[in-house]
Amino acid sequence: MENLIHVANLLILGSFLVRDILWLRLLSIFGGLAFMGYFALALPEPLWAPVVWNSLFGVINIYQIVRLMMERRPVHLEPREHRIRELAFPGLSERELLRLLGQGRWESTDDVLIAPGDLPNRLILLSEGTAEVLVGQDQVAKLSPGRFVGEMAYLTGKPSSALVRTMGQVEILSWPADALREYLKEDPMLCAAVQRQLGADLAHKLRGQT
Amino acid sequence: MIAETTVTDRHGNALSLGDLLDGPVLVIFLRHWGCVECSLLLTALGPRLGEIASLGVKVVMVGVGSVAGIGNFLTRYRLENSEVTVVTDPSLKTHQAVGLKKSLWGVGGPQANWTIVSNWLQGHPNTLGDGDIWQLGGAILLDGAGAEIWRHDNRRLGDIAPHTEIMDAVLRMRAGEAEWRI
Repeated sequence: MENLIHVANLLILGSFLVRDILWLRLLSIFGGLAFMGYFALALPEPLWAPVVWNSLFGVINIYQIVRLMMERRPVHLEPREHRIRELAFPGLSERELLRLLGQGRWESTDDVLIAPGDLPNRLILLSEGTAEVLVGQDQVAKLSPGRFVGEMAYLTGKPSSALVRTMGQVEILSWPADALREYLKEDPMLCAAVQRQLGADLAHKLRGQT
Repeated sequence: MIAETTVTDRHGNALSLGDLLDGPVLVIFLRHWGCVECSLLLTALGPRLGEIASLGVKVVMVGVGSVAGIGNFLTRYRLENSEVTVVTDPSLKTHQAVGLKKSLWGVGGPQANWTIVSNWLQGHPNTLGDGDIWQLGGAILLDGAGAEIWRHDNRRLGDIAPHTEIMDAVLRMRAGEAEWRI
């Protein structure tokens, strides 16, 4: 029992030597258990203060380990999620992508997506199929998968000046504009990924307008 | 007026800043060349300069250090082959023209010192560089007509505009200029 103090310190020493935070926390928990055993059982009179402190450290470490394990679980993308990643967000990891897609809603439609004068309250990403942009009767652009709809209103807060309608059945992913803005405020990396794609899309549309 | 101030390029040529402000432009007001702020800014904004350029927005950076410092700055942040224009105005008149302040507290206060220490630990150097160390930086986005669309005045050292906020302003400006909007 007296040797438990050495075992505990060796485990803590081991935790300092590893670089992976998961192993650091695991070794730290076992070190803490050894400390608790020593202070509770090896001394003539148990010392409860270090036992209680090590219990607290252990609980915190277990909580953080569960979080780490949740974050490190493999994720699997559905085909349509793969497609969106390739089309619009190649720089995002699968987990980041799922976080972003989780804020949106998939939908199949064959309808007008935006009418002139609308202030769309959602940002739409075309996943499959095509849509056309009409100013009056003139088709001014054709939108293919990976293109946004409603992004100019999303960016400027101004109503649409053109009509966007699908050319047959399309699959879209849409995010509520205000909720997406708030969500992206908390995650600069996802925000940058969305901005990058919005910028590429906008640059494409602006080139088409000149 | 910012366009009427005179700046100096890396070759020592005096230019009217107005000559560099043709079209939409993001003007970034740096401090002296050795400041941690430059490192923080370029680390965050550097990877996004291509996005800004693709939207037809020029980037001009105005420092307050020596002309010789421009070359070192370009090398350190690998900007030699970029489309970014870096000039300097050690007289501070350009910074003052847009209302950017000098601040003893903003540069020497506890928050500023914490910025220096915490970022040094993460690999962002801070040296005295050259130029007026008390001058604060900032950023302004001007549209093609020279109108101010967005600005950020650094209230203290390290208080740089987040790259997402800069990009948001650039995107908002360019989307607002589109012939048709959806």
